[in-house]
Amino acid sequence: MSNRDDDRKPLKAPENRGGGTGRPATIGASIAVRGELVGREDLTIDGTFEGQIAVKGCLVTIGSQGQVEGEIHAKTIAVEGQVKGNLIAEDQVVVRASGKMEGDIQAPRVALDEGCQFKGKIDMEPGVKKNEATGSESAKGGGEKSPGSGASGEKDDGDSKPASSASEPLKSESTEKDSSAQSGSQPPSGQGQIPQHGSGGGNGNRHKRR
Amino acid sequence: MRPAQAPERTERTPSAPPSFRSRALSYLLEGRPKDRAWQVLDLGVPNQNNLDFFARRGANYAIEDLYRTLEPSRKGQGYDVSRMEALDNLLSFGEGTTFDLILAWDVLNFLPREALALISSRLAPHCRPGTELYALITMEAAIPALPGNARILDEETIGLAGWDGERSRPSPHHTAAVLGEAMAPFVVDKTYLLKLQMHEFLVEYRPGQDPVAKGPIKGGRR
Repeated sequence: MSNRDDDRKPLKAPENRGGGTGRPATIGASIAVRGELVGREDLTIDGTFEGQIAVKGCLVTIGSQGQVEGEIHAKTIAVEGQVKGNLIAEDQVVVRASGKMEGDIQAPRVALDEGCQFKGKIDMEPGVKKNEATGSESAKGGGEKSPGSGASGEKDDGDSKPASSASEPLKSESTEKDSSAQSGSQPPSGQGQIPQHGSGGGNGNRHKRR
Repeated sequence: MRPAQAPERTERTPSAPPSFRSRALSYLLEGRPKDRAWQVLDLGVPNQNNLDFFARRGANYAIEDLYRTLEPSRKGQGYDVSRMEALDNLLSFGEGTTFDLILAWDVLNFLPREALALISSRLAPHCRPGTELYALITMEAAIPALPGNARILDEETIGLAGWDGERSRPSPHHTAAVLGEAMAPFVVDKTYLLKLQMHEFLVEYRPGQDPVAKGPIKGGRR
């Protein structure tokens, strides 16, 4: 619990004291929380949360009944409920078919399942600061490429950016020289991995160029 | 004599949605900025295909499902234009946000002329001179209940689901002249005729110019 007199001090997650059930921490459906939440384990929100969440290196799941208003920082974020606010992920953000989101996403990989609702901006190069006014780009320190990115040196008609990943392996378009590893688009096993629900991104259409 | 054989039973597979070769898309790709990130606003339903397409090209991509903003239930029941004007969240992006390309897809077919003017006024603060708005405008007398789902399949091809079924609403019959007048200071820049009984329209943001459409209107059957 943060002390209101020390608002400038960032809240730190307690050191791992060992043990743990292996199950994600959960804000139950009947629970409403307002404030700042930090942690070092996966988190599922089935209730209501208003504020800021920082569980870097871990998975945050907003369940189908969950409602979040605020900003979330995590390794991977899966939205099945409602989110109003920005999502910043080190690896991936997935908005499921039942998800409703209004806000901006910063993540190397973003998946929008068919049927989801989304309003906002998507920045898949969060490590690169894009200056619209001057047209210059400068890399921020600490920007990292996603596991699925590759062939950064290849350019085809200026299309140098690798494919993002959906919740299913992304197939490259026919005109793309895209050598990004499809298997590499999946999050690593272990902490932070999104369980696959079967509904993938809506990229089922493949069209061969004549 | 051999008995007649029953015809082979074929598997019924869902037919792929109609697609078309898009000259407008090719034109837009050629004209995208080379010295900075392409700023794109998609007014259709969230679509992974489109997200990936623009992400590969280093674009900053924003989405607002315009039709859902206007009719949240998405039941094709229509809406009240006066209620639309009261929508604070209609096409509201951060101050200073500007787009190079706005993809209206087929949504404008489902909006009356008064709504076009409102949308134009809400988009204008987020446009720069030369911003292009892409729209698919039907020539048919009737339209489906809801906008379709447009997917960019490759650099020349767009698939449009939702237009191969029943027509249940009258079309507003937007023409180039209507778009030019209703959406001023947007001006019809280019049009391309499609086999789907639609036109691709590129409508360019030109503040300070006469709203009457200028420039050649090109067509070509696809």
